[in-house]
Amino acid sequence: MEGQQQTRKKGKNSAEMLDRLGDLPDSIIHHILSLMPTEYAVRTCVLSKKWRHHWTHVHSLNFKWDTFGGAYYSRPRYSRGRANKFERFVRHVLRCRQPFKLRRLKFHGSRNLRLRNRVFNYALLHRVKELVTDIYDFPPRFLESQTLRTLKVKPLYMLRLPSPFGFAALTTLQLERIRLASADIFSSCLKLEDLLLIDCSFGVAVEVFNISTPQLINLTISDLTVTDYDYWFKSNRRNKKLLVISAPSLKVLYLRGTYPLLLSMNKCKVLDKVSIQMCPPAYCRHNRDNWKQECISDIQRMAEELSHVKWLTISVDVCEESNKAKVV
Amino acid sequence: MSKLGQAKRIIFLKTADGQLFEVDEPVAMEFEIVKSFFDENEDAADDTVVPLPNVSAEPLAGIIEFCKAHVEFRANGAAGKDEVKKFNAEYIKEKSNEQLKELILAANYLNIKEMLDFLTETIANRLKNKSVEYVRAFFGIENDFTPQEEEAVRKEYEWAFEGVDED
Repeated sequence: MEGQQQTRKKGKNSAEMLDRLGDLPDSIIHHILSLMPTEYAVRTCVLSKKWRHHWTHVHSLNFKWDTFGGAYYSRPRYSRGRANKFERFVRHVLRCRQPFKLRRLKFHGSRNLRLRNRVFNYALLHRVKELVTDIYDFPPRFLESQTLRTLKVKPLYMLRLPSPFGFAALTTLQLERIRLASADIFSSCLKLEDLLLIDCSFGVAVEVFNISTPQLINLTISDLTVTDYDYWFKSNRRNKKLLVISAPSLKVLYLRGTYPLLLSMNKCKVLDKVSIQMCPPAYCRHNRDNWKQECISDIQRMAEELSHVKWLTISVDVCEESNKAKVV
Repeated sequence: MSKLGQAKRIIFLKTADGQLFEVDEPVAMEFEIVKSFFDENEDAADDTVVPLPNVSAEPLAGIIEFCKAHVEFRANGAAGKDEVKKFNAEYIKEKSNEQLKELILAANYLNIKEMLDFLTETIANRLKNKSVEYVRAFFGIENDFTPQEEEAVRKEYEWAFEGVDED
């Protein structure tokens, strides 16, 4: 390796070069180690005496059981022995790490409830700012975190979001594959600025879903599924699902989801840019004759309500005529 | 090229190996160290040459390329978009580990947070899944453990080495 280094030119010889790399500030080394899967960070303890304790200064932890002890995705199946090793590893790390604040925790894939509680309590105690996880059953105390700014949850399969939601300090929230089962979840997040709902769905029982947060600036709802067979198949139709957005600071809205979904956002007065895309489910065409007209009139009503927006696009897929409007 | 401002100011930077760089002001101001130089020397003449005794020409050229592109991305409102990711991926693809280290030292000295974050992330990605020997060579670390000491450390951290399966 040193020989290879020498082949790179520049007036400096290799020895000088190594000295300079030795001078790489500890903070940068700690930062690099913080970005790696934690098991690789810990293993640098055998590099040299100086490096023995570098890893204990990591500002972030990255635990992922399916990568633990192996190349990514090489052994995807859950095995008891591996799970035990992973759990042992996590407990050791939490015990040995220096008690600094935790900037970010990535935690994926433990079925062991006690370990999960241990990890989340550790995160709470170390004032975690960002959490990326595939788990949703946090210990109740964790919901009261006053430090968590960013939360990203992407479970392996569709999960029901419990309420109350808590997390009063959140500014960024990203939920993926979550069933939004109760009507008004995010009202506890008074500081929320960015909300992303990806591949989420409304529970069948939810008629009206509220998103009301005073500081929300960007709202992205992509691939929202509105499961509503009754609407399409029954003659005594129920009302269409209603999404009520009460966000006086909202500037940008991106919504892509299945029709029927009505939108009410009369409290959003400072909107700059709105893009709405509705895709009626394929089966609807066989069951309703006038759905297209109905859909268009709903869209028109939406456009009227949003006429104050500087930049507006509304479109309906599947319809031959896509209904687009641009208001300046 | 940044087309901000009418009378475009040029900042002169001189590297450790004596090369003179002419850099557009918005790009040079990405370097915290240059910015504070001018903040502290408000009456510095326009043709003042800022010496950079810890940076040589090659990494500086790379850094200027990166910062120039990112200043333009920000001006075009493209920050955080796919084209930025694409640029970053292209930028780093051709860089050897050696060049990366040079860049990180220079970016650290010049104090450019955005670039430093990007570079450290790249290094972390390159180092994960790698053997201890690889990482040792990468950082140019001399192993000062005796075999017995190293054995003892491995034993103490045995829980971190279970099922090691590196590239």
